[in-house]
Amino acid sequence: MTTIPDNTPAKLDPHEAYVHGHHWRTADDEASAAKLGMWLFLATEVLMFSGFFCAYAAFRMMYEGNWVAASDHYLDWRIGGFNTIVLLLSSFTVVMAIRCAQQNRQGLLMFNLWITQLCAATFLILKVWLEYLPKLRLGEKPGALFHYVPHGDYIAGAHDHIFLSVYWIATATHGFHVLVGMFVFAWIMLRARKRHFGPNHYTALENVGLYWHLVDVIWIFLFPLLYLA
Amino acid sequence: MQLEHTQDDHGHGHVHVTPFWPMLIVFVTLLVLTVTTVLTAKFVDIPGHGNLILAMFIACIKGLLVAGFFMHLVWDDKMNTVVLISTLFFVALFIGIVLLDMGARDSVDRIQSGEIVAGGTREIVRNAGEAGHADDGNHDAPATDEHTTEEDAQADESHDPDH
Repeated sequence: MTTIPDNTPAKLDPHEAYVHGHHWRTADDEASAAKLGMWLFLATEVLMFSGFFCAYAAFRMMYEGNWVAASDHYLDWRIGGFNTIVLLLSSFTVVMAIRCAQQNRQGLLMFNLWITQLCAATFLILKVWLEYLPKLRLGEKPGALFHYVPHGDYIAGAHDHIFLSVYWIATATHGFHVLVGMFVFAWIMLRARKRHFGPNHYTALENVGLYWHLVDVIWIFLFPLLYLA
Repeated sequence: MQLEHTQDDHGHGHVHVTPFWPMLIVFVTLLVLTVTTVLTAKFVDIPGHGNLILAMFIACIKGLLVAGFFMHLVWDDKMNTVVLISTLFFVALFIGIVLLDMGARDSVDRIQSGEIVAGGTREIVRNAGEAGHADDGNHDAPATDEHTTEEDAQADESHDPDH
C-alpha cells in the first residue's frame, strides 16, 4: 500500500521549526486569531463570574450590617491578602516566562513556570487547609448546610448562611480555576521541556498566560469584597 | 515609564518582546495597591460606603494594570480590547439593572419589598414589606433580622386558612 506523503505543515514536528497552519496567511495572523479566541473564552468566564458578583451586590444591599459582620468573623484577611500576593507573583512569573520564550532562554522559562506552579499550589493549599477544612469542621457551610457551632463571643447573624453561600460558590469556582490552571501549566511545562516555545512560536504559552491573568484579576476583586467587606 | 515598544506591529516574525523593567514596576505597583487596599479597609473608616468604593476603585486600577500590561492589551490587536470592553459593558448592565431593581422596589410598590425567606410565600413578603426594613445597615449590629422571621411565621399561619 502506497502512502500519500503528508505535506501539511500542521503535522510537521513542532520541536525545531514551527510552521503556521496553511490556511493562515502569516504566523502572526494565526497567533492573533488564537489570542482573539482566548479573549472570547475569557469573556464567557467574566460573564460567569459576574453572576457571583451580582449575587454579592444584591445580598449585600439587602443585609449590609449582617454582611459586614459575617465577613469580619468568618474570613481572615491575612490569608486572603497573602494569597493575593501569591497570585500576583505567579502572574508576574508568567509574564517573565513569555519574555523568556521570546528571547529563547529555555532554562529561565522553565524556572518561571515552576515558580508559577509553586504559587498556584501555595494558593490552593492555604485555601483548603486554613479556610475550607476549618470551615467545614465548624459548620460554616453555605445556605441550608449552614450549621454554626458557636465559638468565641460571636453571635451568628440571621443571614450568615447567605454570605457563606456567596463566599463558597465564588471562591470554590475560583479555586477550581486555579486547579485547572495548574493542570494546563503542567501541559505547558511538558511542552516547554520539549522546546516547543521559542521566539517564533509561543501561542499556547501566551494564551494560558491570559487565562492565568484573568484568574488573578477575579481574585483581585474577590479579595476586598469578601475579606475586607 | 519607558516601554520598549516596537513600531512594526505587523511585521512577520517581529514580536514585541515583553519588557522587563516596566513589568516589574507594574508588579510592584500591584503589591503596593494590595497593601493600600488592606490598610485603608482595616485602619481608615470612611463614612457611608466610602471604604467599599475605595476598595473597588483600587481593584479596578489593579485590574486595568493586569489587563493592560500583563495581558498585553496595550500592545495587542485592539480587537481584544473591544472584546473585553463589550464584556464589561454587559457585566455592568447585568449588575446595574439588578441593583436598580433591588433599590427601587420600595419606591414603586412597597408590597413587593421585604425579606427573602426560605420557602417564602407572597404573604410573607407582603408582611415583611409592611413591617419596613429590618436591616438598617448598622455595621455593629449583625443580627437584627430574627423578629421579621418570627412575624413571617405568624403571618404564614394566619394567612393560610385552607390548610
